[in-house]
Amino acid sequence: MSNRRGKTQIIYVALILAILSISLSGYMLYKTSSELTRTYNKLTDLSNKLDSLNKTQDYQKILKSIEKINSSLNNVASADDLINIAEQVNLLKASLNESQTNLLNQLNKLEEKIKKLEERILFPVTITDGSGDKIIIQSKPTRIVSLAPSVTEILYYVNATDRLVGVDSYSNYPEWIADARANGTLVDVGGFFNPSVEAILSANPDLVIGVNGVTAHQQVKQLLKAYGIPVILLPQKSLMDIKESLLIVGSATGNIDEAVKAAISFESSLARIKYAGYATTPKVAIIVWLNPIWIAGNSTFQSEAIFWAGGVNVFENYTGWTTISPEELVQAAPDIIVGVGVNSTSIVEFLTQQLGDAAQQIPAIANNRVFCIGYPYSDMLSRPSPRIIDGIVALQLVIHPEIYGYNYTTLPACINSTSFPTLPSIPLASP
Amino acid sequence: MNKYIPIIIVLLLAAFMVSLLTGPYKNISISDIINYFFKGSQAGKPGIIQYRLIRTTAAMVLGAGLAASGLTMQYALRNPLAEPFLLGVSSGAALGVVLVLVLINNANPLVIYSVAMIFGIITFFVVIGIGARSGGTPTSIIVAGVSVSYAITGIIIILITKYINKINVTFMWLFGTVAYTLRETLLYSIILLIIGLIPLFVMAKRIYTLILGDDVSESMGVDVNTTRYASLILSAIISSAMVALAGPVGFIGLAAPWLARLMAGNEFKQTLVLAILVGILLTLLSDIAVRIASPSQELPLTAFTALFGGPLLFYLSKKTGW
Repeated sequence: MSNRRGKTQIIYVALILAILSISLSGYMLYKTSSELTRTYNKLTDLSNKLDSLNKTQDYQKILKSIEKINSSLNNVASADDLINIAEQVNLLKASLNESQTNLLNQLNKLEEKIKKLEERILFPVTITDGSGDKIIIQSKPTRIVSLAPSVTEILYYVNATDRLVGVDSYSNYPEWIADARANGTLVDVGGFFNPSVEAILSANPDLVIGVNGVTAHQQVKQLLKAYGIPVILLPQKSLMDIKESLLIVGSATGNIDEAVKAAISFESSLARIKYAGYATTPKVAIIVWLNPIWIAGNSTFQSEAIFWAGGVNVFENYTGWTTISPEELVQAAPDIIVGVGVNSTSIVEFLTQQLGDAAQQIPAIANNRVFCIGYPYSDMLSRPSPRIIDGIVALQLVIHPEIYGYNYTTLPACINSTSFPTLPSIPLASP
Repeated sequence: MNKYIPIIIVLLLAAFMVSLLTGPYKNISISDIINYFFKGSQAGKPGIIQYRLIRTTAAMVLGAGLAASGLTMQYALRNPLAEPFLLGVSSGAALGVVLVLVLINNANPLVIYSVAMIFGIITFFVVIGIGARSGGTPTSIIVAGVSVSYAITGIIIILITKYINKINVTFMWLFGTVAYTLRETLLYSIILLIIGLIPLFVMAKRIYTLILGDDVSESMGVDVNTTRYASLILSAIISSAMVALAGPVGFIGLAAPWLARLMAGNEFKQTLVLAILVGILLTLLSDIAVRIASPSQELPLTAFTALFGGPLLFYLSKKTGW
């Protein structure tokens, strides 16, 4: 009997021990796990604390930067200083994440302050315009009237067309200008040679920009003096005048940054066109009207365009745009004739009709090298604005088709939007 | 007083009002105009009214001057086709303006005004000199005037064609416009007009006798030569001022005197008054027509003075003999 009771006792003890041990291990497990959780929580806590400590340091850093910028705004000496500060603000803004809206707001306020300072520093400004007059612009113009297509394009390149309130009847670039003028959003102020003073006044402008050398614009300038409206006349003789005009308009409108960028871009594009030096420089005549024949002589930007496009202006010794007789064309003997806005077939017909057999003495006619440049490239080649770069490329296409993979026979007779919806890109100069 | 004068004055006042209300900017009303006269000019609407007022006044001064000058010429030269620019004033002035534009870059409009006046008067004296040398009769003076005008026009054509880049004035100044009138030039023209008109009225009786024929006037005790030359000089001063103000504007100087003679007969003083009134009215109507026909691109004034004046002259020539 004690054997069995001994066995049961042992079993009971074993069970109890088992239960005890299980409970103990459970308890230990529990303790460990909660310890683990606690450790885990502690770790997370710690890491959070570290994180927020970092964030607070970032936050503090940014706040400090903002304060520094704010105080430096009180000591701005020039427009360059302002540009540097604006860049700093931009960088800071980029380094923020979404949750730091407070900081974002402060940076935005800084930007507003910079803008206001910009206007105070940049104005009043004294502009020397193309006619040599000094014009004082008191404050940033917000209502601008353009008297010529080239002026509108220059405003476009300095990014000030949003402030246009009136344009002349012929401005057509950028395209929205023509529509705005048609539906009345922009006031139509008349033609290039005959603007309407009343239309200009009705647009209530604080700045009017015209072109030097046009009598009507000079008259408008005198007239508007009585109304206190400044009129700037842009220079328009040479290609470098385009760069000058960009800087003048940039200064007058307060968009100096954009103007400088546009001027640099214009000069570098011009340099790129010059290619690696031309193997030949054919003699070129540009004809802008028939009957009588109008050609481009020296002191015109079209003559300079011939030079940049790799040719030589056969009428170098004539000044300005002037008329010639068909005989003078025979005498000049150009290798290539380019009609800008004039049909090449019309040119050949006209000359053959006027000269008869003598027309064949003109190399351009004998070798079938009469081309035309049509819309929109004729516009570009006729206006002193940065778009003239494309006009020069079109001219280069005609004078040196080999650069672009054409020759005089494969080249279409007329370079316009039909034959070339886009111009080929200027090849990089060969090494 | 002539019975036609009240009607014309009423028409004038109406035309004046219409002129102030016409233009590309549509929102000017009569109340705006009344406000302008009482409150003076600031920017905005009053600025436009001010521009229109200057332009309207210029048109009126132009009409008065052309008519007075034309009538005087017709009496002094005893020729119904005489007009203010017959004796070379306008071609001389145009030559001066073209030379200024070729030689000076960006000439000041006041310089252009002075040069136009000076060249106009000098050309007139050249013509008178040639005319006097070849006999001093109205016919010889007219012949001198026509030939000098043509010669100068030839030079102008050559200059314009050769220097078209500099002289892009093209047709605007050459056919007359009041669109770009400056206050200063308007003031000078008004002063010169008055300087020319007062002696004309003083000499009215003597000028009247000129159309009776040289021998008749002589027998009435009038010094024909002095009267003729004096009235021509006065006419030239006025027409030079008009050309300098607005460029050569044709037909007013011919049509207004004719209408005036139709209404008032041949007595010089009455006819002069009427001619001036009619001239003002015709020029006002032409400028209004210019603005209606082409609101944003300016047209030259001669477009409409010729359009109105041509048929008018034809009609008048049927109604009246000289």
